Amino acid sequence: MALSKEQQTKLRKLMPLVVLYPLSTGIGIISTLYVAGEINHSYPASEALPVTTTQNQPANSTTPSPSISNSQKQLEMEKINALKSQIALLKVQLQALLAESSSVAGPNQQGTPPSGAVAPSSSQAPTTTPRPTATTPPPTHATTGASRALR
Amino acid sequence: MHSDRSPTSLFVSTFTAMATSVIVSICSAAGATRLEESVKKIKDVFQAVEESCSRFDGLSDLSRLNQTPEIWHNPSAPCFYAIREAYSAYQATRGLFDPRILSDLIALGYKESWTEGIPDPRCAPPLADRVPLEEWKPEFTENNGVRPGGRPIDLGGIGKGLALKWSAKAISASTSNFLIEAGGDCICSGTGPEGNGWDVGVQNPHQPEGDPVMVLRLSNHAVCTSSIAVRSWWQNGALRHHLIDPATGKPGGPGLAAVTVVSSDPARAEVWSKALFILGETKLIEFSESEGIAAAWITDRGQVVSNSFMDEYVTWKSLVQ
Repeated sequence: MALSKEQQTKLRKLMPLVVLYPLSTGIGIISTLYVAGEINHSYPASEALPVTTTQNQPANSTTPSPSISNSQKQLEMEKINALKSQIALLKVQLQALLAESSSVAGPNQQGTPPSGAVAPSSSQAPTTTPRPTATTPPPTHATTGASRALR
Repeated sequence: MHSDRSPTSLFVSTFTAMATSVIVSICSAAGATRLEESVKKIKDVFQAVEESCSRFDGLSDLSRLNQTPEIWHNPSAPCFYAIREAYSAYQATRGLFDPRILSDLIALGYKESWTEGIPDPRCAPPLADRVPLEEWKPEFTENNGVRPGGRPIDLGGIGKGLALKWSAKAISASTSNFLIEAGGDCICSGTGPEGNGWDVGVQNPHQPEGDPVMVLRLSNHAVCTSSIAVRSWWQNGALRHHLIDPATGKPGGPGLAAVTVVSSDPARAEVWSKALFILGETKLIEFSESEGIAAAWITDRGQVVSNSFMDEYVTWKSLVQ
């Protein structure tokens, strides 16, 4: 059955997709298998992510992506965490010297320091970069603590 | 180990996996493309572990295995190795770490991922301690066969520890100076951006958004913390948390708010942080010193304590307690 001009035009536009889509999918599969193979050959199984190579292995089901909410709060948390890390690292890089801070636990002091505030001692000359003191921690590259679960 | 004394670019990337943020910091002169490839490898590792080991995903290998733990299964390699690692940890901690507390977690209301919301406060768990679990004797075969034996298991933090371990290995061929932080657990390699190590703050569980209580300087170490700062909830007037004492089936850790452990292996650091927490404040110091475990802990009254093995890494400790 002959196609109309309009149908022929639409078909000509779709033809590249019909060819390119399976081609790109095939390239993606091949490169994934190649990378997985490289990882498997590079490291001992006990140290590296184990790659399943045994027979009689039940076919792994295609699991859906983790059901994590894509709420705005989740995205903001990610941005905040990344920015916090970058800010902490920039602070360290700007400091010329870091004084070694005392690591001995002393007697309890009255009150608690303001969170995140830098309070130079009155006996020290003001400096442009904060120095760790008894109540001011030095900048850090990371934090260990409760898993910052995304709520 | 290569020591990088000259300033190099610091590359930081963040993504979400295992219901938490994963932050990758790499010191390298490599271009952005190669660094992104490293991050992609880490993402792939976390995704593989989560897909196979999450108890919150009904289609994961672990979930399927937990439906019939008394029979033989052939899970994917990450799940198999995670269970084997869990059993090794069970033996090393003499049962203080026991992944068979899944039923207890569910009884306390912790049925869904924390991202879905806190446990149901109306859930009424049993008031009496349950009897201690029988000895765990899972069986393994050389071709990834496993029979967990009797009870469903929760791989919990050990899965995250293994994801960190395998991620570090995956990128170690292309970079030797990096830090990977995943939900409060970290693994680092090399000398950091300034050439004298990576500085890791220990979170104050009583003021999670405030200053750390301690700063550790690490080079080729992992550090993990078990804490009740986030995963705790009220239930029928009682405070519950997710760190279950296998002996009783109830939240453990009398007198403690958080325990931090430094080790060369992130999975072992995770296991020992949990096991030491379960022990509680009065038994923790003697046990950790005798076992040679670098540990620090914060009590429920806010006291910050570190043992002699941990003191080697401490560069700053808060005097305000």
